[in-house]
Amino acid sequence: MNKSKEKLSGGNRLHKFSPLFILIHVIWKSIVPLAFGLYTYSKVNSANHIIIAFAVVISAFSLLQYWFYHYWLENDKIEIKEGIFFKQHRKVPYTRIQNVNVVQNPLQRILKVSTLQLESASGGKPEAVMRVVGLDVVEELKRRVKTANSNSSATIDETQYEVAEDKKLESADYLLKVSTKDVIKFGIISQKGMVYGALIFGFLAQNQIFMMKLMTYLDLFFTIPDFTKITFAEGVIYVSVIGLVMFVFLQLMSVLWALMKFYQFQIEKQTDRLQANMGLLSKVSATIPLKKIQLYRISENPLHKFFNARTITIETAGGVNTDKSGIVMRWLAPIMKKVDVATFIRKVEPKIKIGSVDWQSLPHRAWKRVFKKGIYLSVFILAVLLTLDYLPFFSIRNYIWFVFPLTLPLAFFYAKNFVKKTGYYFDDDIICFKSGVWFGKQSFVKIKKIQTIMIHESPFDRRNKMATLEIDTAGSNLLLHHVKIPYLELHDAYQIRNFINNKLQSEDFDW
Amino acid sequence: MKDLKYKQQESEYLTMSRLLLTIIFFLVTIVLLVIGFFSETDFADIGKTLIGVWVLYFFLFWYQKAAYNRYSYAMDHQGLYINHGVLWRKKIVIPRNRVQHTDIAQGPLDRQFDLAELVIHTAGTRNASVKLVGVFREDAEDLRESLSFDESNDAV
Repeated sequence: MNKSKEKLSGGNRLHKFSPLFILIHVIWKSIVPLAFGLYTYSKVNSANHIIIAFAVVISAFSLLQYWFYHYWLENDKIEIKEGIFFKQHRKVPYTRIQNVNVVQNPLQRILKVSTLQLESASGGKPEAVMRVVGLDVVEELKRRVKTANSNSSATIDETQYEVAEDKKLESADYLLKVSTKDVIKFGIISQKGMVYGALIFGFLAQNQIFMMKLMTYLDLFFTIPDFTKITFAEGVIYVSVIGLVMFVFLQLMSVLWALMKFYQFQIEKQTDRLQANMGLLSKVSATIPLKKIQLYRISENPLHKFFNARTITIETAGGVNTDKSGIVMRWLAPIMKKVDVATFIRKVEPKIKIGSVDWQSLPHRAWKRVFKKGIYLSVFILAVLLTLDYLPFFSIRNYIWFVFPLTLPLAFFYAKNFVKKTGYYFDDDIICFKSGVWFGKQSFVKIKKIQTIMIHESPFDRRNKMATLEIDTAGSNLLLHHVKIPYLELHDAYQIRNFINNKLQSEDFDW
Repeated sequence: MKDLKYKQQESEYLTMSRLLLTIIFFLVTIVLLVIGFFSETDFADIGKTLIGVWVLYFFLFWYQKAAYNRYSYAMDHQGLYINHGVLWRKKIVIPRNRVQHTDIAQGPLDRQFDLAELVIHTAGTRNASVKLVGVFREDAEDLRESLSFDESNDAV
């Protein structure tokens, strides 16, 4: 494509296959869920067809956007004009573009095009989503962004400390390449199949007609026994065979998910950013500027321990984390050997020396508080069971009293392990927190990425002169593990708070 | 940090929230009485409900005082500190250079008492916006003024 010529004219159009992919995108995002919803929750009738036909007509209008989308690659910026009724004209200087993310699904690979997503530091929505452009445009844009950024980084001090470290790594060797065997292992570890299993189960439970059809098909292969007439042994065999089949199915689903997403996962470090490539059918190529990473999280569940592996995920500010129309990039290493974790993180972020983290444990008496919680919980379970016993059809009085002897050792074991597995650490650069008796998680946050600091004191905390310290970062997932250290000695909590607060005064937040 | 001077909310804020509480409970009472007059419901039941409602009122009336007593804030060269919570107490620090921008919000009732709410936005998630309630409008503006730091060195 020759830019100089088109710059004079009305600018570049998107690739000529673009309308096809816009259509696919619209169908996938709006019509498929609509049809799915309508046919799942109600019987098939003509009203449904009308609604869907209407939706198709409406979405056909979205094709128009192709003829109203123009872009120019200037020397120092990209200009984009789009919109049918509400025109938008955007100029994004190359120096401001942080990420050039590329997604290619199989069809796009055949046609040699890709969806391109440009992100600036502003966070939130991507600066531009170009669906779709030719690969030559992608390369050209990447080249321009790279030259623009390398020219300016000498004057802007944003990469001060990373630059020196990276001179050695400049040769862009891969930080991590995940073999297919490891991807399969990761599938098993993730147990993502459960999600899909639950979805299928939910779908079947909702959709009676479909369920009936499935049952009749199943009847062709083997007969479902009448559970009132078979012996106990037969029942056990039957249930365990079904269980085994489902178990294998879930494992296969998990592995399939992992292969789809992480096939040939590889990550490399370029001066101030990471470049990740992955995917079996849809290829994803994403860049993660190092300074946008807010939190590193290392997870280990029992299966991780079985395979002697760990998973490392990240949280980033804005862009790369939001799934508005682009890429969710939160995997730094889906799976890697436990022994390699420390060196890997050190290579990514020289300041985080997790090899030398000297974990501090919670005060010893914290276990008593956890144990007490366990006791209260078993008392609660006992009370529920006792109430149940008063209902007709339940005669469990003779068994109820086993609850205490069974749960108390469990609570004791849990409390002791809780204190053992929970720990924290902080120094001039990072604050870390680890917890989880069965599902271990470790979170690492660079001090300068901290936004606010909170101290919680519950009535129980106050009685024990303890407190919980929580820190807030940008782009944090509310449901996942973060730095929230419970059962701290009160003065320790305040000491950490003041330490961080003092540190933050000299460190401006730089996204 | 030790010699921070914590300030209470303005007493007008307590008056205002109690006034609001009273208005709501009077409205509830009127609705219940109307139901009592125009429906088949036994009036004794309405009476019992009303007693429950007003017991709740006096509890909340007391609770607001407790919450007011426990709410305090302070500001120094490092940032803004807000403490609140009656049983579960929370103490939050917003470092000065983590403030993204600030809003001042004022409801109709706030205006009667010349009160305002200072909303401080950070780049965080759980505390993406922190509210400081129960301050006079001028104080809110002063706080806002002193929170906005020199942005010239903030290069993204």
